[in-house]
Amino acid sequence: MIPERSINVVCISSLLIFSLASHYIGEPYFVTLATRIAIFAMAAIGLNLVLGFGNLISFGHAAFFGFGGYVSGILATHAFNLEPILDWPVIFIGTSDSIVIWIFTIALCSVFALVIGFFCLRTSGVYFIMITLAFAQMLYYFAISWPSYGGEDGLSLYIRSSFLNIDTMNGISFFMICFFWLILSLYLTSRIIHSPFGLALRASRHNLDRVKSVGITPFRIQLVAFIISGVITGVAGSLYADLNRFVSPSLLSWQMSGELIVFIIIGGVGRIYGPLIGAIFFVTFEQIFGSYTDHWQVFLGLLIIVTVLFARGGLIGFLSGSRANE
Amino acid sequence: MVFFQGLGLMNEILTIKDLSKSFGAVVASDKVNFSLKQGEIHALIGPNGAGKSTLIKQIIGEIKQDSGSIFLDNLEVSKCHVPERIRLGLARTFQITNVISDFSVFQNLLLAVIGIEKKEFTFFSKAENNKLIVRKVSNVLEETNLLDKKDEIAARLSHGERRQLEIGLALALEPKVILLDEPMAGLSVDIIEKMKKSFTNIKARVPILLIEHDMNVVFAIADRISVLVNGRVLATGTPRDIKMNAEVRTAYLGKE
Ligand SMILES: Nc1ncnc2c1ncn2[C@@H]1O[C@H](COP(=O)(O)OP(=O)(O)OP(=O)(O)O)[C@@H](O)[C@H]1O
Ligand SMILES: [Mg+2]
Repeated sequence: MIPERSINVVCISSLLIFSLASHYIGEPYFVTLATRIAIFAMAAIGLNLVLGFGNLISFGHAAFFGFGGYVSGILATHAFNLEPILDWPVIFIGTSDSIVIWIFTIALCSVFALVIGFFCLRTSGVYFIMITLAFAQMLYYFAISWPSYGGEDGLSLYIRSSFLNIDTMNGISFFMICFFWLILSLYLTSRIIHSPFGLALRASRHNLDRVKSVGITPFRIQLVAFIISGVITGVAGSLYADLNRFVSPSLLSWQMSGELIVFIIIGGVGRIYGPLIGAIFFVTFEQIFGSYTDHWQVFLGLLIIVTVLFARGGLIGFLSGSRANE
Repeated sequence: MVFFQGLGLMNEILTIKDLSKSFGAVVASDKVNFSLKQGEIHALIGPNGAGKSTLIKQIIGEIKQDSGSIFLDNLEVSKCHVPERIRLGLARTFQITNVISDFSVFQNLLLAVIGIEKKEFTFFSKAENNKLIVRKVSNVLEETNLLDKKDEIAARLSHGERRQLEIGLALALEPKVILLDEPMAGLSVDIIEKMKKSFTNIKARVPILLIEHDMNVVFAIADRISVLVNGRVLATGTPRDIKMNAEVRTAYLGKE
């Protein structure tokens, strides 16, 4: 049995080493791959906060991923074309400054998550799954039918947004930005999980009556967790738009929501590093098997079944032999 | 909130006025009047299905009454949600043990103290580092004899220990009244003896509403007893009064 901490350290450092090595041997494709892993992991880390620790199975987190993507895509497009988004009360022509884009993404995703959470958290269990899915699907069809920003074809961006004086078009630089966000979201989640708020969130996963009986309103706890979760996933979406210089409704699709859940299940539900390990595994799996056959997802399906049946703690649980959630 | 201005209620911490509740044709509470005074154990007895648990659930706010009102410390709480009532000073134990089973004993109590100290929106510091919170948890661990089980996962506790934890969770809230729903059911004789002692200690601080089927326990530690049958309070009085009461004997005690 390997201590969970060691597994975590190995995963995070191998991602870093892999991308640095790929850069120095001149394989930008693999640097991009590592960046994708970092971004997907971050998106799933956001979801894991509610799904893994609060037992709130959101099947609509693609809504936040795509929303974050569109927020930054739209801001950057306007800035590039010099077309104002707003002409009243102030003229606002968008921005291509990453920091401003992130601030917008965080603010708008909080409001968006507040609204969605406010309605969805009135339900639980399978109804919660369905209503989060319904919200995401609404957004998906809205994006498809809204021609201003590409509709079904998506929206291409000409250049990545700028961050300080760093050349973001340089693959390894952009990787480091995403890696920094990944570390930050891991750090935030682990702080939150062990805080009084995290304790209340974990308590509300099965036992609302007990939580109420100590004077805590579970709805408020869950709503705040949902907002934090939506923001983390939203920022990941914003990075993803920048990585590909492209956003499309597929970011909002239910398949995207499903993939985020798959990362968590493979890595280990309710483990802070679970989504990272899941994303590493998923993307690597896709690379290796995807080159042999288009039907690689069949094998992925088998793998998920095996994980769920025999390794409930996911890969981390399997390797460390420990219970979740500590 | 309405302030209740009754006379002679000076030391009544909890007052229930004409509380009624029906589930379809079943009358679970029928114009119940009940009070809990400072320093007392007030036992609520009655046959299965009499409406005892339903009364506690209405006091705590889990079930909404059809009519009537509930006052805590002269403040009407009948319309508050459960968490608000807890923060105003009500605490209860569940008839069926209800602790967070994948938390340790320590974490369970920590949750209670965090709740009552309104610290649940603290995001970055560990609760374990807050001296005040940890001291309160330690006090409860000691009072409920759970000190050496501190790090045990609640699911692995024995039935008796889990009942102890259940009471600890109520004490951790430092409430104004404690509502105990059959805390001794299924416990061994020596644990019951310990609990009897601890209840008499607790009542000096916090009055206790005690639902209990074991008449030996009730007559040994209760200061007052109310008998509930079919949702109706048949009689309220000292253990002596209740023993003498002919109506109670035929309706309830006689069957024992
Ligand atoms: N949620 C509910 N819906 C419908 N009927 C209920 C509900 N809760 C309780 N009852 C009914 O109300 C009556 C009182 O139940 P309650 O649980 O309060 O009894 P009790 O005095 O606590 O009994 P016991 O000694 O068995 O715990 C019973 O007839 C019960 O079937
Ligand atoms: Mg009962």
